[in-house]
Amino acid sequence: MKKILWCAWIILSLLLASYYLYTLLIKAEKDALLIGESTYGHYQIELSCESCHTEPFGGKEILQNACLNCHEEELKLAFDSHPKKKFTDPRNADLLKIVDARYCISCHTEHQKEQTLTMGLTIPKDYCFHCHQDIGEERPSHKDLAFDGCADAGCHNFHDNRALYETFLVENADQPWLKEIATMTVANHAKRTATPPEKYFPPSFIDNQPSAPEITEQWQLSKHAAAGVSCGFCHMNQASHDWEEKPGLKQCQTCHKKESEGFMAGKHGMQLTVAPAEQAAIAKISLEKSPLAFVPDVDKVAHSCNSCHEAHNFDRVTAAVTSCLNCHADQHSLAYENSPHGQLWTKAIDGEIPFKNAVSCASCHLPRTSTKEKGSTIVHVEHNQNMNLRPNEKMVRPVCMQCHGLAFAIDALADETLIKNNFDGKPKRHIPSIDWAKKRN
Amino acid sequence: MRFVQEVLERAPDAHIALFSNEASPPYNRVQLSSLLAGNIHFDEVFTQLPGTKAHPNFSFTILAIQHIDTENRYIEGNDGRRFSYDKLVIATGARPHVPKIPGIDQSGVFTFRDLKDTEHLYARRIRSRRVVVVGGGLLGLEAAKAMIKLNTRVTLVQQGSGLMNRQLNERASLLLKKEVEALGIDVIANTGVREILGEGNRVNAVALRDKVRIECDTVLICAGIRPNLELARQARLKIGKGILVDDQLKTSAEHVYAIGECCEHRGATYGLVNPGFEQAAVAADVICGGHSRYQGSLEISRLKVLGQAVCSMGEVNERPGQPFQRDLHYHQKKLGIYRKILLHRGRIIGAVAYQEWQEGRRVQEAFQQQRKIWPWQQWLFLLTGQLWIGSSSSNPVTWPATATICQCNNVSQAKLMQAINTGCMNPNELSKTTGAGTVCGSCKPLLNLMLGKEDKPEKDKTWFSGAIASLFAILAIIAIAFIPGLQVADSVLNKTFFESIWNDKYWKQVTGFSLLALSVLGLLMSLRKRLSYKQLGQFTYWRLLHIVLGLLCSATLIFHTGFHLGTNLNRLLMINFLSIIAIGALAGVTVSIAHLLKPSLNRKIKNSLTWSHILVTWPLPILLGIHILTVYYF
Repeated sequence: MKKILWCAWIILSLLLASYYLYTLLIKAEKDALLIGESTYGHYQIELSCESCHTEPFGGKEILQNACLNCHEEELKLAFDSHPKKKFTDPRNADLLKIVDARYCISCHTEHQKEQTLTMGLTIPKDYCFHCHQDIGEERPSHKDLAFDGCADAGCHNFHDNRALYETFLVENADQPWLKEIATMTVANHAKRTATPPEKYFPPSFIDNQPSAPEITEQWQLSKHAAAGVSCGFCHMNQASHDWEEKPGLKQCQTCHKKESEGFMAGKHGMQLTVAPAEQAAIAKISLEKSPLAFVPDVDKVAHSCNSCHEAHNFDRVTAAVTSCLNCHADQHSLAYENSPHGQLWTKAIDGEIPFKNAVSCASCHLPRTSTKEKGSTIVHVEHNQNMNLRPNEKMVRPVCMQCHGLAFAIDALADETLIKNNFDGKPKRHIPSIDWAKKRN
Repeated sequence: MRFVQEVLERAPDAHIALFSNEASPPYNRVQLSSLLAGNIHFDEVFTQLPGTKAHPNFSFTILAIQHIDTENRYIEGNDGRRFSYDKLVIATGARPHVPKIPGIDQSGVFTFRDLKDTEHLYARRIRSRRVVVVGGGLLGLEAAKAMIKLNTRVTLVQQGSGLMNRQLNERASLLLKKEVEALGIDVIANTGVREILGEGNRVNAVALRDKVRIECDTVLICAGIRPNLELARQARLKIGKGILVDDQLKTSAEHVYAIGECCEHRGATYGLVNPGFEQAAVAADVICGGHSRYQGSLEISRLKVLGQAVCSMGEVNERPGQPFQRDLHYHQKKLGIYRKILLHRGRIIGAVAYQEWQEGRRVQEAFQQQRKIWPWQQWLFLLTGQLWIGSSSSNPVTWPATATICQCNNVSQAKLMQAINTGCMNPNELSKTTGAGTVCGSCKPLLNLMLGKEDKPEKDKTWFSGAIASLFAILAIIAIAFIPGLQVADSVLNKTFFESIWNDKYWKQVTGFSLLALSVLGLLMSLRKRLSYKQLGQFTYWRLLHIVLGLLCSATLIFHTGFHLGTNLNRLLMINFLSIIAIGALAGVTVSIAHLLKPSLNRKIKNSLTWSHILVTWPLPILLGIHILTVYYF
């Protein structure tokens, strides 16, 4: 009897152990081991454990590398106000005892949804207190201010203060709320930098090329036709030289490198970074975990370039507004059409003003960004929708200030109601940062 | 004699006349082999006659009865005296069967049945050097063992295929043979004695059927018994193998009963002592106006020679080729345990067990009530030799409510349980209330089992601290299960000490490994249970330690989790941990306050809680291991 019991115990234990070891080591879907829901930033890749846990038994360093793998560039661009090197300085060693700021996960712990605040923060909001508790002595204007408001809209950010530092505030003080309407630059990234694929089309490809007059017509009106990008550029498989019925991201990438990179870095394309073995698990994730509201069932739409850009005509007018509203149904999106920005867009559609002076969803969220490369200015559309979204002061310099004054932009972005009604009206809140900066100088 | 005792117990003033044709006071036949072996004194075999003061109407006469007149209700002795009766009980027993072998009449050939035989053999034993025992039944074995005492060479000749072939099947008797041979008795089976050779009317050898000649000076015939039926035949009672009797042991004639080896009940005659006692008791009860019934006996014989229990019922030997029949064997070679059950359409029609079988009585119940033995029970039997799970299945408390515990009075388990629950605390009270065990008494051990050993457990030395620790552990578990997970502070200024323990990566490891250590320490008690070294200290202190460790575990768990129950794997681990501690703590409370509970109830609760506690612990090592692995893996 005892023997039987022991045998049963061992067999059952082995079964249980093998189930979990199988899940841990072999199975792609490891949801049985998930210790908690991910933040809204990462929920889409929640089940792709290897995206962050790149090596088993990695520990802090490996996780840190995983964070930097996606977010390092962004921090560099933002001139990170609290970079790692600030804390590796021996003079600051004692500060590390309170919060080890060398590692991202000290403040941004994953799988702790209950504790997670905005920006994926998992420590109390007034963490600035630890190091800046005597700020009142240095700046009388900050005396008696509560520390939980430091990182509120329009004041400070831990990492990105490009639009908030004192000199900048003083320099851009006293601007009118609306400046001259800016003109959209023309994106030239693909034209300047792309290496076009070989122009030779083998006979097998030409034979298989279907002829559809309406498609040809659409193409003829597109920018692709103007740039001489014919069917074969997209529809020929580069390896086999065969006809490819539905060209995907890979084809687009050959010319639109920066756009693709941005797309995959943002929330719209991040699922495409996951290894193919894990795609199935990822596909199960529903939009319910997102804090935003959506048109029902849109999570079944595949994530690809063609989700927003219609094939063949690649109409940017559609991509800039219509495609967005096909999915997004939150207050801000729904209020767009009747907002001042949306009315400009309607006017442009009606032909009253040129499109380059109108404001679409893309104008703010997927803005045209210029970089200097080898002496020439390269303009591309930043497809990482998150690049200037959170915290929203990131939008002030590259977007808002193209048409609006700094003070107005700061106040507007701090006004929750105004954001919800898509900036229909004037800000009700006033952020005194410029006033304080002026007073001090 | 047993019958007389049973009647006088029920009615001390009954008029009883006991007649015996042996020239000695009544004696206990079972003791004769012990007497022969020299283990007991001659005086010890006699049974005490009922005292004339307490039972003035009892008389004992040495007289051979020659005639029974059932019509006029009298009996007549060989001296011509007549005695009239109200009720007549025939217990004439049996006499040894002496086969017709040439040379059987010579001197040196003995039978072994009564006191006179024993006296003769006892005298013979001193001179005897070589003995041949004919017959391999219980009596033959006992006689052979008794004769071996003085370095006499004993050979046992068995006509059948194996020893005790009436009670045992082939495999069991082979086991028995091995043990018998180990005692120094030669066993020759499957043959018979053809002739007893002698010189001058004096035995000097036996010739076997297969022409083997065995030199010997003594031949002991133990070739079975023949019921003494002359009286019954003369009285024109119905006779089969023995005097036919019904469930109340009545014969075909009014007011005449038959018990013991001379009677045949449901086609069975019994040659062992226990069935006789049971019959005596039932007959006494019936004659005194009771309504008990005799339902046949379980043939359990304890081989005094070998100290081995042998039990058999129903069909013993396999009947190859019978449809719907299965025989299941269980053989534990190392311990020499052998059990067999014979099933027909899933119901027991026979069983044999060599060595003690705890479940024997329950098997008998299942055999008599024709209960279904389920396939999984058959599997269990093949693997473990048990038909029911758990070592407690020999206790009727765990039997089905319809099980008949007292066969004589047809008392069911449910009725007894009811009586126990209404406050019957000892076997006598139980017997009085339900009538169980008042007739043959063979179910009395079962009644004792049902009541538990019935000495109230003593107050445990550590009962108070144990109970308090257990109660605190229960409180902690309830707190963890029902207090919602703690929120983190919303300001760095009011972060509490507690939060910096449960929500800190370093302290999480400290508390986590403390939990691991406490769990491992907790297993020490389990180890102590299995080691019986005295110097390890009293078990009760180990148990207290175990309880305190459980309490510490639940406290550490609070620091480890901050009342959060986790998700997925962690949730499972948490539920597992909580149930282990909760059930363990309940068991702790039960053990600690055992002296306040009814013993049977206490044992029942304690057993099931302890088992559940152990059962829910099984996934813990794996879950805990995987939990620790994943924490460092990711």
